Amino acid sequence: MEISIEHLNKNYGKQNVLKDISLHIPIGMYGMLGENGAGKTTLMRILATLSEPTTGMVEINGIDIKRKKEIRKIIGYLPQEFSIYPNMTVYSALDYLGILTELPNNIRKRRINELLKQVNLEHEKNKRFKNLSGGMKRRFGIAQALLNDPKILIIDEPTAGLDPEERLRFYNLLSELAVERIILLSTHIASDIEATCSKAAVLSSGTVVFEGQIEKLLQLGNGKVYTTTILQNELNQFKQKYRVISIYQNGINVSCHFLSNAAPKKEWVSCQPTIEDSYMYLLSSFKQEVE
Amino acid sequence: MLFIKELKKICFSFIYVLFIGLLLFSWHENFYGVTTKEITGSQGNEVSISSGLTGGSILEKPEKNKESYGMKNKEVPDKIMCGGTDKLIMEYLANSYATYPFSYYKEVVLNENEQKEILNIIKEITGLNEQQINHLPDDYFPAVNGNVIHFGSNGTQSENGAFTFEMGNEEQPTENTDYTKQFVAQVSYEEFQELMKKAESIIGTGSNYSMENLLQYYGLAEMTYEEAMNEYEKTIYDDKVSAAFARLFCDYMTRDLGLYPVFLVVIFWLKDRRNRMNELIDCKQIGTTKLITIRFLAMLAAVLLPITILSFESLIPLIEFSAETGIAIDVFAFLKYIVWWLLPTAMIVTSSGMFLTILTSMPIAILVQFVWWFIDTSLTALSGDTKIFTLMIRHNLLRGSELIKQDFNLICLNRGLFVILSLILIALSVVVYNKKRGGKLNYDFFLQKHFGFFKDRFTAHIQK
Repeated sequence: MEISIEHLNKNYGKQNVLKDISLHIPIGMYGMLGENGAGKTTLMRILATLSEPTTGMVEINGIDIKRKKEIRKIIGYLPQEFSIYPNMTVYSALDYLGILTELPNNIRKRRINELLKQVNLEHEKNKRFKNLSGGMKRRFGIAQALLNDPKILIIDEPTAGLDPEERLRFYNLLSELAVERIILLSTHIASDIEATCSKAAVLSSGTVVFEGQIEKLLQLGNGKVYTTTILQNELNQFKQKYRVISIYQNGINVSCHFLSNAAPKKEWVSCQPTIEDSYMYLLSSFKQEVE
Repeated sequence: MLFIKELKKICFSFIYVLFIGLLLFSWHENFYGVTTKEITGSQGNEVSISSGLTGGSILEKPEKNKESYGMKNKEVPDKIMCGGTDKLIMEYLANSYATYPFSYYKEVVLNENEQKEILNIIKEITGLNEQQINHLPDDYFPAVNGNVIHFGSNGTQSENGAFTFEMGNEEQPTENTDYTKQFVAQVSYEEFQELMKKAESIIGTGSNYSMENLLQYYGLAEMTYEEAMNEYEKTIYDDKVSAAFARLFCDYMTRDLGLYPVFLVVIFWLKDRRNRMNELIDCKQIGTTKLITIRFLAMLAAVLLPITILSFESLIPLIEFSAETGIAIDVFAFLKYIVWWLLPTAMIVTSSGMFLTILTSMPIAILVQFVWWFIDTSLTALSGDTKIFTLMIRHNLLRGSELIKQDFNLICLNRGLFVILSLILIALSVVVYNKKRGGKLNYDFFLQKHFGFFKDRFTAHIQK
């Protein structure tokens, strides 16, 4: 089982949103990382049959993406922004979507109860959707995407607006689900990918700038990340020279966590890069190349 | 199962409650109690207004030697010329002419030259000069002259203040009648018709002087016993009683069905997008044809269900009437007329609303339907005026089954055409929805770019 994307391009009018994307996504959790506007949602929508490629080939489990009816049978999709008729209860909303998924009556009822248990919404099943918290809504989103027990689960920016506890709970849930299926997770938060995925791709301005194991992504930042302490009034000048990732105020001094390709100075302390650091390094290198 | 879900979604929405409210109001104002009144009227009690004008309950068997059997429409040239001229003189003297260009009242005031032209028409018809026209004797026209009533010497007022007029027994003018004392047309009926056409062109469309209106207002004649018996037999045997009520019921309901369902349809179809649910639905397995068809059928059921229920208010008393009198009724008459007359209207309103909403993702269908409904209402007479594209079949009468027989083929063609058109619109909706579902035809950006200005202005205006 695999998602195979070859030379995929997507244009909106004259704007080229996805540029010659080629990816092979195997079973397991796969991260799609990129800043806002990088083209992640467009790619997700194409895989969810809600948009069509301008050129290129996409196959899911050997089925051409143009065979939408067949593709819809094997995918589950959680869009970035979704809602439900506000007065519908959790159960009836799942039941409605289950009917649209064309699950037979007896299977549907059983499946809904299983899913409610799995996403820990059993006690909320009679609550109206509008009364659910953000985390509950996301878990509902996962439940509805799993109604047809899909081989491919496509999840677009699932943790937007969730507090850290909900995020953790959500990723634990995804990890449980990642057995015998592909979970494609799109996010702009690199640490989310590190916590859950073994492989990832990074998109920037519609182009794949990285594809591979998470460890490989982490290594990209090796020897490029430093910390140093400077005076507060030197900060602006420092920012113009280096890509500052974070700063910590310390009296009149400022401790800077930054990226640099240049040879280190003696006052710089080399750091073990986090996934965020490597990701930032990757993006800034790509942008420099483009410029 | 999906059908039930969609039906529930519609029926438990606020807009549906409004729809039911409007439907109930319209039904209560127009049709509620008509059947019961006709039944009790046949037993000598008060009858409905429409039957009152035509001589009594349609269910009352005429008896020989009765004083009056009611009125019927008949082209009696003398009466039409008398009534039309009476009305024209009244309006000329007040220089205030009533017109109904789109079924709504509009007063027309003529200039001096136009008034002179009208005066010449009156002079030609009556043979009187301007002075005489300005000072007509009180009894120049009959006290009750079609829809014109003169509160002159012929009217008597009772103690409780009610006026009584004797109808139809005025002396008919003879060759010796003095045309300056009593109306005697000085032109032939054909010439009169030409003069009325001229008056209509001066005053404007929808005046009182079109032949249709002249016939309706002044072409009334007393029915004979045989004619009344014939009408009664048509009701009892041809219409089997219930068809007469079913037609009137459908006449009132069709005006509601010609417009209100579009609000339901538009809000229902925009609901997915407004609730950001469209992507969840679109990526599910269900086929587009199945989804659109089931939603369409659910909408149609939601629209016709209350109408079918309301028809029982008439049907149940009729069943009781049948049991009491032994007169056979057609129990399925309401159902037949709902399917034959109302279903095609409901189908076309629902399918066109659905198609336009899916196509544009905007509530444009409401505007389109309102314009269509308004034009259709304005151009269609209350009875016997079905054309090939008439949206709402009108028959604002309990009697008059001959009008239906006369137009039967046209009505069938009209209804069939709307059914075919709505099936085409459903098929087009499937095609468009399927394209949009797959990411094509998404020109919402275009619409927002070019028409968003109006939406923003409107929103800003509301927020103020």
